[in-house]
Amino acid sequence: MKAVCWQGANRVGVETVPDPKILSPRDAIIEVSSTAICGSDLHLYTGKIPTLMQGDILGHEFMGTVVDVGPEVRRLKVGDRVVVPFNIACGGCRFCHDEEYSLCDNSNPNAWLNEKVNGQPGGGLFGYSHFYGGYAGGQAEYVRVPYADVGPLKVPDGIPDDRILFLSDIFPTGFMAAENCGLKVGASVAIWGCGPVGLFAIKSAWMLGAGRVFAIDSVPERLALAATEGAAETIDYSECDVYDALMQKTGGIGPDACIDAVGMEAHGYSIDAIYDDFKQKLRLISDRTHALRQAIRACRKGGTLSIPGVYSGIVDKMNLGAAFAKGLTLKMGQTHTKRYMGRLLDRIERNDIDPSFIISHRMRLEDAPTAYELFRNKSEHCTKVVLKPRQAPPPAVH
Amino acid sequence: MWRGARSNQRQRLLFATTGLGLLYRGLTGRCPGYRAAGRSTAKHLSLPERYELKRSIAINLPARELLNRTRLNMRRLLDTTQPVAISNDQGGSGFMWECANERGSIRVTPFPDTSLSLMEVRLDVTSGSGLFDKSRLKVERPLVKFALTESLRRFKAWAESGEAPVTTGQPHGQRSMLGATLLGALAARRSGIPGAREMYP
Repeated sequence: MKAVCWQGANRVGVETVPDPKILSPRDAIIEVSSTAICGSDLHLYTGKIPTLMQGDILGHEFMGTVVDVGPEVRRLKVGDRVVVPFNIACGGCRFCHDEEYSLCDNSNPNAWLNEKVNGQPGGGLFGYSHFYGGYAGGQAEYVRVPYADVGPLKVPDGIPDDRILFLSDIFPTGFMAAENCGLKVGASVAIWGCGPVGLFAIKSAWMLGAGRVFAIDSVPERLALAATEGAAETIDYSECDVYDALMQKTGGIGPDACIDAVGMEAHGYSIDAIYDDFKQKLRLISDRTHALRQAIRACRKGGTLSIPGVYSGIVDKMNLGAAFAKGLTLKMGQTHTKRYMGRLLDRIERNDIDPSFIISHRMRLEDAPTAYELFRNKSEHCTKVVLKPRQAPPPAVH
Repeated sequence: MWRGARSNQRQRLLFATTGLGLLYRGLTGRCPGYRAAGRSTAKHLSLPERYELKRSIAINLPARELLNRTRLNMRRLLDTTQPVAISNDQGGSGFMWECANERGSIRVTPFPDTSLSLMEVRLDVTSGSGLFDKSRLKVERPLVKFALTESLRRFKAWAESGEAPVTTGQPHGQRSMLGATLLGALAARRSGIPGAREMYP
């Protein structure tokens, strides 16, 4: 089969690799119909995530059709159409029982490695380095899904892939980010980053009763999407001071909740952003936290800071004192995707939301190297790329 | 001149013998000189003949069920094909076990107000009386501790979800030589270090 393999920093290739097979009785094999490139894939692409190896198959946002199941799979059968959550969960540990699927105790084969760094290991993830299990990802024609009775959500045939694909990650991630804010009706929310997760966080904040939503970015088309699709008040950080703008809009109080949908590769023009960039280039820090610092500073006293953006390791010059002084509540972590998939599917079926609004590019799997480059550079107004492994090549031009 | 060369050779031989003797003493902790003089410093320097390792793990099963499953699946927990003898029921909350040269105990108690149970495993390792004990123990003990931890982790995964996670055999693209070597080492480490258990005296 064809699969998108990491070949080194800023380099991916579509390679021919063996088809996946059932390795455990609870596995299923999915023929991928649609797969997307996530913003967090860019951390892998640029080589910022340790323990990713040359030859690893990328991709954790995918859906498709079941083509094979292990003898102990009860809930799925060949022919079922499924969306697969990006976290791999065993279904039997205390965390899975509590619907905290991303914290699964048993799904990470390299748990000892993760434990050495983090104290306790996180669960396995598709295509997200050996630190999270080294599972082959879904940017491929086929993918093996472990614990197939736990994660995959069966979806009806009538809904196009583009509307339900994002149940695999970014829609639930945006939703959980907003839910973590504990919003009261009429609350104000500021969201750093108007990429796909940020846009879904904006939509979700409205769903959960927000009264005002501020969207912060510098990419014009993303700010435009936040304004038109998300009805947010936009702040272009390349043109103004974000703190001043938020204080101006909230009468000096600050937003009730802040969402950092940027993560470890934040851009900025201030001294601290330049300092972060310099130190990250020298590999002295793993994460650039400019957006997080801004969010802590801007958030109102007693407010909540929700962090769906990915952070991977050690940060520097963190204004934890401000968070302490203002009594902020910090909530963060990988999304417990499966917890939200069913109820968000209901909203899609009711036409409350059409998540396909974020797709800017639909390309063939073979075009993945170009797609990654476009998405990283945010060129050609790229907000989200969906890859179609079964899409026929364009007709030859004579 | 000839005598000078010969004296040099003798000196080298003396140094070499002394050096080897000191190396032997350093590695084994045994001193032929003290032995010849009938002296023993064993009470200050001797290695323990046994050492004990304790690990505990929380498993999402009721205590009684976990205890029964453990009792019936000790070979799985110990990663062994050898028979495991079980004895001395500890008032219904644990038991002693013995397998080949290893022995230990298991105790299971419920966590209050949760579905979890705490499994505490004790492993008694008997140290051999061969050469190089001190150096070997320094290497062996953390390996055995790691192997025990990983055995418990796999057992927990099996007890809670019916399987231990696996990725060996899945597809991947072209690996670099360094990457392939590192991943091989990672897989070996993950499997509890093949051979680590054979290092038990």
